[in-house]
Amino acid sequence: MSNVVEVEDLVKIYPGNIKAVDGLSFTVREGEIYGLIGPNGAGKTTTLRIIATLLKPTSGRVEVAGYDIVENPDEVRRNISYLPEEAGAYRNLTGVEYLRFMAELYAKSKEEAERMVKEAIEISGLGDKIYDKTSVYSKGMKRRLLLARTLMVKPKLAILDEPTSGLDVVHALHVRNIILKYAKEYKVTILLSSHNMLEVEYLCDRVGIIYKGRLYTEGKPNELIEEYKASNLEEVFAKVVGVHA
Amino acid sequence: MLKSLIVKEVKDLLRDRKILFAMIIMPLIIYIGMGAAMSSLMEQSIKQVEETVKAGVKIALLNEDNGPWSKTFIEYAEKYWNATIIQINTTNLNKALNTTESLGLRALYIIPPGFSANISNEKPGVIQVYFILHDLSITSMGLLSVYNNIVSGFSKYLSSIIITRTAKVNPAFAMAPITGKTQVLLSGTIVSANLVQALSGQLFVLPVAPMLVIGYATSIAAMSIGVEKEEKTLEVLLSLPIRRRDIVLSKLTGSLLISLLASISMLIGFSYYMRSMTSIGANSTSEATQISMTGGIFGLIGVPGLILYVLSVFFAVFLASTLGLYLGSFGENVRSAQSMVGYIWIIVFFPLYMAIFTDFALDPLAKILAISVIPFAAPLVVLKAFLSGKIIYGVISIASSIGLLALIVYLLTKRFEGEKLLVGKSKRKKKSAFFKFGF
Ligand SMILES: Nc1ncnc2c1ncn2[C@@H]1O[C@H](COP(=O)(O)OP(=O)(O)O)[C@@H](O)[C@H]1O
Ligand SMILES: [Mg+2]
Repeated sequence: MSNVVEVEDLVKIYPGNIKAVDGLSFTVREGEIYGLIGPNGAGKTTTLRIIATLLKPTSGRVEVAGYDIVENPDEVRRNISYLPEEAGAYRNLTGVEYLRFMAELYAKSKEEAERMVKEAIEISGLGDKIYDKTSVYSKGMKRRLLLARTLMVKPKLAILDEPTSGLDVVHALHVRNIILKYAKEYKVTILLSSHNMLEVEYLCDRVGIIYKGRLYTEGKPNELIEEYKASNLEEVFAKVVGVHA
Repeated sequence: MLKSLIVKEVKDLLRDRKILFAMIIMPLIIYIGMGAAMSSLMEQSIKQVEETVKAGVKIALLNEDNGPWSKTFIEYAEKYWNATIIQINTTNLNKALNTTESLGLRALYIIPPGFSANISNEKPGVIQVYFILHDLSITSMGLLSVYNNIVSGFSKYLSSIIITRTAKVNPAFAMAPITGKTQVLLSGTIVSANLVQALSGQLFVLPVAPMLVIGYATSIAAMSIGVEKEEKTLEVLLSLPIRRRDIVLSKLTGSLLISLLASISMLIGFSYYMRSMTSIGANSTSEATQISMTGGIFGLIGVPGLILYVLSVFFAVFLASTLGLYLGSFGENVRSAQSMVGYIWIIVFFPLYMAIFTDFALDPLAKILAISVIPFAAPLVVLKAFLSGKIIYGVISIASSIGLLALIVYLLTKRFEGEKLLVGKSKRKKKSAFFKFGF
């Protein structure tokens, strides 16, 4: 199994000397669902934005599908599909128009684009609401639309930043099921982040615990729980980082 | 790929009713409405004055002379102006004015003591005219000239009496042996002085619609970036497998289309406006129709001039919206993006009016050149360049607009390539960016 993402000694310092990522290294293997977990401000979004070529690293090396994100950002973008933490759709477009617009940017033919749109409509589970303007969508509906557009292009790597954060139980469940189902069905490698350590237990093949821009430990959820003699990942986090509730 | 980006951009812009209204309907309303309103108001005023004269003006008269010549004046006014003279008796000016007003009259004439004696001794006499005015309007100005004309008419009337008495010549000839007839050769076309005055009046209203449209174009463009940030669509857009250049290009195309629509609507509106205004300004109807058929000033600059003018308007709007995109990218949301361009009309207003006050035929070349290189002055510079036959300045002006446009497109592309667009700046730096670009 080859690595889809390789992050080595990644450092990101924002203007004002804010160190958001501080020597981070991890790899994501082909076909797996990898979760970066950590509290707010740990540096998850910054890391994902760097992998998605939106930010430039201060130092360190990041490769996606074998392409360096600094030297070859265009190639990297062709291999990824990114769902930002806070993302919206164009309010004047309907859901289906939004999907079609996105599909046309990836597809090589009209037929392929239409196929993507059709699949995305199914993934989203929005039914007839897909023909409404996105300005009337609830937060959960918008998230489902955006997740569908992220997965419909069957990227080598899908980057999902906090895919369920801020959603109610019903929508969060739906989103988690979509991720599980389509990751396997489309053979998409997934790198996601979450501050909800309990949901990733059920969602991820492997997780990396990140805090203050550093990776503290990494492994399969059940193995980590066993290793640290904890009952869940939240306890693992508390033990590794040394904070006590 | 670029095509679907552009389609999305255009769909997004055109679905916004406010944008359609601001860019297409507003210029038409301004010009067509202004043209129709001004010409009908002007005609109304003229009619009002004419009717007052026809019905006979009423004048208060303070006659301190009571000699034969003041009697002649009263007879003249009554006979030739159908005037009603109401004599008042007081020696105090204020009281006389109060009485005039309380009688509901607009004018007080005062004939001072010794008026008749002076004239008999071949010394000029004076008739004082007090016009009571409560508002400034075209009608009042028309009436003012009527009251003046009564006195100057009387002077001519007296001249003919005096000439008839003392000399054996035709008084009409003696009083006006020569008449000046002013014609203007304006850029190759002979027109009356009246029409030239009307045309130069047009120049002053010319910048109104471009200023408004440019203001809107900038704010719409700024909004299109602000919205991407506020609605959080920018981050996805930047992660898509499209070149940064194409994103910029699609945004520019959106602005371009809007600019095109706005320019067309502005030109239609403006040529309509000029037609209605020119027909008031001209004294001979045939001359008015002759020039207004071809659209006032546009008729004088010919087809190449018109083409260049259209180009200059288009580039001004396009330049403005590109500037709007760039400046708007410094805001974090729609509101702050728009506040970045809120004062853009100033940099449009001054160049346009500076161009109006520059005479391309008489001013030094250095001054003309200086005006010509200011980008937003282009529409007026082109007009004046063609009127004065110094076409090169029109070309320079458009070239400088294109130059600035290229610079801004370059800066914009750089901005999309960097990470600042997404990350923004730290609090302290934000302030300096505002001062730098907030005008
Ligand atoms: N644009 C920015 N400018 C300056 N500091 C930032 C910026 N974005 C994030 N940070 C800081 O970087 C750190 C990591 O943030 P982030 O990557 O968003 O964490 P997470 O996604 O894990 O909550 C935080 O301390 C945050 O305040
Ligand atoms: Mg985050």
